Amino acid sequence: MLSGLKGNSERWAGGGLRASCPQNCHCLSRDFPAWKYSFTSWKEGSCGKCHGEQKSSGKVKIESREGSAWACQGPCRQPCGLAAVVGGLCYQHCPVELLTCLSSPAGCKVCFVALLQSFSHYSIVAQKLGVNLTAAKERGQLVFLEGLKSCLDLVFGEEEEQPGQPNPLLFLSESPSDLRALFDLVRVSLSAAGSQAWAGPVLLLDDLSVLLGLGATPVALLDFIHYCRALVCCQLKGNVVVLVHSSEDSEDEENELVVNSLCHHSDLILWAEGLATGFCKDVHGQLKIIQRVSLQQAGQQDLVQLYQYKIQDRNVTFFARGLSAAVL
Amino acid sequence: MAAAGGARGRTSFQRRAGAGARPAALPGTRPALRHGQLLLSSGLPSLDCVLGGGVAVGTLLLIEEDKYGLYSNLLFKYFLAEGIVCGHDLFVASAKEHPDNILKELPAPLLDDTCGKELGDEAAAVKSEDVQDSMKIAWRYQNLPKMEASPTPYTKFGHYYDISKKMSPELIQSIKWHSFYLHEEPSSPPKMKTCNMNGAYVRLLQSLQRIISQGGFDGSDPQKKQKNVLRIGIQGLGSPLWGDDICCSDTPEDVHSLTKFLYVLRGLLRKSLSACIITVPAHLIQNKAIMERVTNLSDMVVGLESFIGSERETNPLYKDYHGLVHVHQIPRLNSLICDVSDTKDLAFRLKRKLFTIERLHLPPDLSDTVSRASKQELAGSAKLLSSGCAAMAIGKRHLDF
Repeated sequence: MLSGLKGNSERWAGGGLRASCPQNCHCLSRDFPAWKYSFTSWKEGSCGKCHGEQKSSGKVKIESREGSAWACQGPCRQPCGLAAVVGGLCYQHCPVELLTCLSSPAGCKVCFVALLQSFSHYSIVAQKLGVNLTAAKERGQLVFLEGLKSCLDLVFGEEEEQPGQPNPLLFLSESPSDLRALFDLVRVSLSAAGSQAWAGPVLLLDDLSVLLGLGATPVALLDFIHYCRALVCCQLKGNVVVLVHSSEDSEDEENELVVNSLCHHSDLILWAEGLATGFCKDVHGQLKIIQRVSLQQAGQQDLVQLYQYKIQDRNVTFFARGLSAAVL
Repeated sequence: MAAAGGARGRTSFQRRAGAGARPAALPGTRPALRHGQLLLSSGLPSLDCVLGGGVAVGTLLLIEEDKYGLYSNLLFKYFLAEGIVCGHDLFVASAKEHPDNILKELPAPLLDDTCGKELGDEAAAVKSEDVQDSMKIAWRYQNLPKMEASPTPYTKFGHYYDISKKMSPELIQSIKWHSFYLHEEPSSPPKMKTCNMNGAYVRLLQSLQRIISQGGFDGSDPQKKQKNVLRIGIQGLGSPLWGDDICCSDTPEDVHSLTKFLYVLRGLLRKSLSACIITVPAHLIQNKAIMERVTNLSDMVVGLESFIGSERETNPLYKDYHGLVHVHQIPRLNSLICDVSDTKDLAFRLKRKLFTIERLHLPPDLSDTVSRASKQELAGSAKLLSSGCAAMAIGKRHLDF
């Protein structure tokens, strides 16, 4: 069971939302902006983490479900919720595209917001992994937002946009604290008519840290993630996979704020970083998988699994620590 | 491949002529082995090896300038000179020097025979020593391959340049080049959305987009049969001359201009046949968060650290070199894996005519006390020197019993 929102929340649609924890714990305590959408309202239970109560959230019932196979050994349950993929600094960045591609099992409707690379890059990488993105796009299973192209259209395009479809990166030229247009795209693509044919929707966000560099305020980012979660996880019973960059000695406070908040809310965290001992040809890094069991049942510890990985041309092999090819 | 056998005689393996339409090769490019992207030479063959074969078309190479900008300027000029020699179009943007002056001071290319002679001299000298002295003590190591100081490119891809000579004006006039000198640009209202970006950056982007679309580099002109590559060079981006104050204070007013510029530039590069080199005075930017974001938004980031004026200039460990090279990022294009070279410790040196990037290796220890302890002392004193305790370091060098 996943308690939908932390803390007590009042109205939702039309008037903004206040989520606060009466016992003043570390939960969110602020106003969400009033975006005029009508979600099914629900009465909130109290914060599961600090009060230990698990009230179901009103009309919307959320359940965990068995997820698809992850690219790692060991059984992994993919709950219906938010997964954060954090890429630390390493010589060979763990191919988060791999993780994001494989996180969308066959038969799911996917909305891929790719801000950092072009479509051809993902399509070629996915082809090596056995996934055909072009075909998926043609049959309507995949909605791909190419951030670079949208940005160019916004910046250099003339004023001939259709009024019904504003550019998703409108926050660049308008106010930087409003990622509403981006959320509109996500909402329209995932809850479009005919998407009932596909199984639960998946939202993939490649690189949230880029949005900070483009001028979005961290609070706006967190609001956007919050709305995405509410839409995809709670209403449409899908999954959200978000990639962020982080590092231990990072001086980017805004980024750290977003990463911390994201990790706090995620049900599953995949943390990819380089080895602490330096560069190695056979082990490119380690992947820490944290399953936030503590979100679901208070008093339980989070499950942490540690694997090391080596990236090859068409595959990534995961193995337990100490079992790399360099040692065996 | 038939080409390899062709030099010495036809092999039985012949490529079928006309098997699939081969696209007309762009001048000065070669496809990468791993991911099939077109690669350009950066002008410095040793840098090409470090970057995994070269600069891929559609990517951005960011150079973090050294303290006085001397060596990063050299790299910038090498990139442009390579463009001229290969016949590419150039776009040079600067707020410091007029692009005409930059182009006048490009190094002259070394012709094949002279260049071969320069490098061949050294190689021949080494080889003759080899033949004469076979190893007497460490004879087990006789047949091991010699360690290559600078990574040798296995195909003839880049060119070498002579810094002491200037490129001839005829060669420069043979290609088409565009310039953007900030202080001579007319300040007309921009036709694009500014997105709260710095005015100078907006004008630069506008100019760049105009050149790309007019020159047909983004494939918008299907009539154009002969495609060419556009090499873009932007000097000193982020410095106060561009109107950006990220180098001036810890809390600049406009933190996002540079990153927005880089994002739009990335979009422009990805959809056109171009490659870009940018030098950024990273040592002046006090807000390190900006440099982290800039690094994430660029494809290749190479930082130069010169020894001029630092304690390392007199350090005997570094006596053969003029500075260190830090590779902060290498792109993963169209594949899961990137071509990371094995050597992480790289240094550069400026010889009389050539600039090379080499693997950093310690000089041979020829002091009186040839023992392990002396090397450790040197290394220890190097660490202390770099952390600023010079007096203690000197004391440690000579152990008096």
